[in-house]
Amino acid sequence: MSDSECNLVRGLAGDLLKITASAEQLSTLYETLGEFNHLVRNRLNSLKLSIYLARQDGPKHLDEYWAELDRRYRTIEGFVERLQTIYRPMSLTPMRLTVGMLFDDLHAKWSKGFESRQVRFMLTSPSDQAVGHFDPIRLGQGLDALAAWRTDNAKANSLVHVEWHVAGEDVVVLWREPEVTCLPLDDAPEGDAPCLALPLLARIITAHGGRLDASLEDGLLLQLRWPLGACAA
Amino acid sequence: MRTAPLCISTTTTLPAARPFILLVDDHEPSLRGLSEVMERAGLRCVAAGSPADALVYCNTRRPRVVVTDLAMPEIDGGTLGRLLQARYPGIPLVLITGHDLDDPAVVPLRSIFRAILTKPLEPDEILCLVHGLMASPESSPSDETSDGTKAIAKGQGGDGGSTSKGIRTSESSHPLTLTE
Repeated sequence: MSDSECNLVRGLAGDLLKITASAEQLSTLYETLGEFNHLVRNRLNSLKLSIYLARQDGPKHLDEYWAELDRRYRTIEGFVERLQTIYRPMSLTPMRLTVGMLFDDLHAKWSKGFESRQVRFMLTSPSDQAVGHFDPIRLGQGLDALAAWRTDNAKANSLVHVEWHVAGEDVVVLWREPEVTCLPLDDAPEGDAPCLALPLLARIITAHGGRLDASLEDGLLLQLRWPLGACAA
Repeated sequence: MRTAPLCISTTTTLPAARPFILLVDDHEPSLRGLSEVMERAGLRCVAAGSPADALVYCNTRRPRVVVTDLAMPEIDGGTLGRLLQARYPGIPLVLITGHDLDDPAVVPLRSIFRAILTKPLEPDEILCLVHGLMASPESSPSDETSDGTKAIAKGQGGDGGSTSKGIRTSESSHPLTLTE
């Protein structure tokens, strides 16, 4: 993403988007936060165990509050997990698969999510079965994070149209939301953590030798592009 | 700084053999929390605040399973795993770490540890794993002293299950203490 594109999103997510484009800055961030990472994981671990134990001891009529506490804890854990995935060195476990398989696995889940928010969702795939060499877990993780973020933020009756095809030697994914005019990336509910879906996806696409571009000129358009043989030796 | 080798001592005869898990972590709240989670699930635990303490303890009593953190000062969990594997090859070892599972620091340890779990731990996941390992016939006979049927009786009495050197046993009626 260019700097101007990164500026479409604000706060931590926007700053991280800029950093994902620079291996040098990622490396600096990793070195800077290495010890912090260990510290945070230990504290989250003891907090999680404490919540587990306290919930066992707690009266049943407080279950609703424990569930809320658990949800908030997991939001923070997910945020830290995502943040660390972005700045840590990323190793890929490549597999030779049809690109369609990647989207087939996600389609049902996305449809269900968007339907629950009364959002119209369309996935357009090509008829040919292009084979790629990529990490389906990582790419699935990034795409799924994007879909979850957009599910939470899309307005009822709006349209989300995802299209993928192969152009030359690249896989191209176009994510369109015509009704969207701005990207409120820091719109996490009060007390929750920023989403970071977009920098996470950008990081994964970059690790595959590709790029993510964003535009808000005619609604939201995210273009993801990575080489078909991204992980081929 | 320690000037004399550590040894495990107890003021009483140890109880009849009962399998136990040795937990090793230098982060005290995590160690205490995991120990409590396991004890509530009916698993007997001994908690060690450092690999050095864990190695000393293993000289005296043999755990059925060892669960250790990776990043610790002086001796890390990987080194502890290698040492335990060499001395007591039958004991299943479990590593817990804040690193990614595909981190270069973790990948070489896959051959040593039966399982590698990331922090923050899912309590139900580690309970399920440890219950399975405790029941596994591959686990070596545990809770045997390495030099006989009774631990060395030496030094001062314990403090009811919590000791000054980071070893804590859930068998509070039979306190263990570390002395120098």
